[in-house]
Amino acid sequence: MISNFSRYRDIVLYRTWAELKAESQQNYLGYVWFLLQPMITTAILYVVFGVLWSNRGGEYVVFLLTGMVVWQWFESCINSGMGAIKAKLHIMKEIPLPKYLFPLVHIFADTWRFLFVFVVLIGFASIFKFYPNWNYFYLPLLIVIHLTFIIGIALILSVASAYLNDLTTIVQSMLRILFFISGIFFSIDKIPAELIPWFLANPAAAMIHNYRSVIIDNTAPSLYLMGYILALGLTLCCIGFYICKHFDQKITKDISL
Amino acid sequence: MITSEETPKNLDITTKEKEVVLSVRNLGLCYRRDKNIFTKTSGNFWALKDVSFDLYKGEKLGIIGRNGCGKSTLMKILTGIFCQDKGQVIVDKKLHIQLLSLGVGFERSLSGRENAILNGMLFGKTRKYMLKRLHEIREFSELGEFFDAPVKTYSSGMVSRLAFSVAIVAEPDILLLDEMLGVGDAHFAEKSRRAMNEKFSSEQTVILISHDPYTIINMCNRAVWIENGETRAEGNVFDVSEQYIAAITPENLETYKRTVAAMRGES
Repeated sequence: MISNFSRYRDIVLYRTWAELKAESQQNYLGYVWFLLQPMITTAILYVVFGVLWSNRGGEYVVFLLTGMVVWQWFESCINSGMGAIKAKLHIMKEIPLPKYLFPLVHIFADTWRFLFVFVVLIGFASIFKFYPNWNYFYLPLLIVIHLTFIIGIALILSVASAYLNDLTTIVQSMLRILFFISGIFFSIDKIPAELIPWFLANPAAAMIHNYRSVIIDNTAPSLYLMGYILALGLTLCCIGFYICKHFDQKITKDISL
Repeated sequence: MITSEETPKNLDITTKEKEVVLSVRNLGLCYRRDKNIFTKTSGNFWALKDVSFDLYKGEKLGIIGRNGCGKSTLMKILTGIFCQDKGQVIVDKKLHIQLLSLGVGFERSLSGRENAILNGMLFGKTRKYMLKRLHEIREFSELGEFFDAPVKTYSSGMVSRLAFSVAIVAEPDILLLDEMLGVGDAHFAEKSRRAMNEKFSSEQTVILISHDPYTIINMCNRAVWIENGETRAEGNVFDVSEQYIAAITPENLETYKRTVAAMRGES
């Protein structure tokens, strides 16, 4: 049992490393892409919402960029984690492996990219005079809590989407809706007070809000929101690992490639 | 664990004394085909209906049968990839049962060295173990400097040489083989065949699946014949193969008997 655990851990770590290495070699720009992607989207959003809707200023750039970087992490983990079991089923049809391994590999690779971009974001914030503060010590905790939530939801989706091809399309549409209602380009002040609890019930919005509290407002993230996402994340993780175990030998048999 | 009527008549004395490491009892597996909720056709197909046999420690067991008789499905159950729908597999959970498959999960942009480690880890080995055996893999695969080049720069022969070299160092408790492997050009095919023969003459417990009775009689000491998902015969490799040939291609029976007589004469 213990030897298996360390073997699976090694597989996940080694494959994550391999994936990052493979990717940085395949593209000429390598790691620069992870930076360019949120920057381009931020630039577009800045033109639309900043210049056209007169929201100009450095603060808005940092505000947008924080939202975009966090959103991109969330979205890419769910997208790649969701397809992971299906994509690697040919391996699991030859070698018995726990089904959660490959979603975890994708999530960890995406998280590594996120951390890389996040460090750049913090440097970028300093340019606009949002300097690192003591509340930054909350950031590792925030990231771990959010990661728990992401792993839980991605595991469930990856098993479910192996059975239901349509689910991928449905989830992508829902992510598009979430993009517009998670407060990436508007601040929570713009929302009517009675709707704020509903707005923050969306975990993506709550996540983005937490990071902004630390980086922009220089305040501690809301304990209530952190607890909410952690409770949600742990529940989803339990369900996720349970269904991975439950469908372990079924999925290889039921899904023909 | 084995009742007397299930014990095959023509057991070698050597296998009779040995312990059973794996026994399969009345194994059945059903593929369900109801993929779409709108066209719910219940096309259930029992690939395995009733398969039973025993595997003794250190023996080379041949599983013989025609294409589509359920041999590969059986392998998937034994390795733990599929779960059977009926019957049972009695085996010590701690034993590592591995199907020898070549190049599973190779990443094209990684080097041969990295892929060897990755592949070995999938085969149930630790990273440390693979690091220790890397030298051997490099030697055996004859890749030379290419060992550190990305696999996408390899020729297909080089890929299979690497895959075979990794597979051969993974030493599971029970090795499953789907047909005999010989890969690469004439020189390497001979070398890989020799390496496989070494496995067969060692203490390694092996199950070899094949549709070819001659492969089975050459490599194995006992055999199981599976037809339409059911065990037809289990026992001495020559007797089982004879029954198989008599049922499948009776016209070749004479040739087979002559070959067997010659083989027995030699030994």
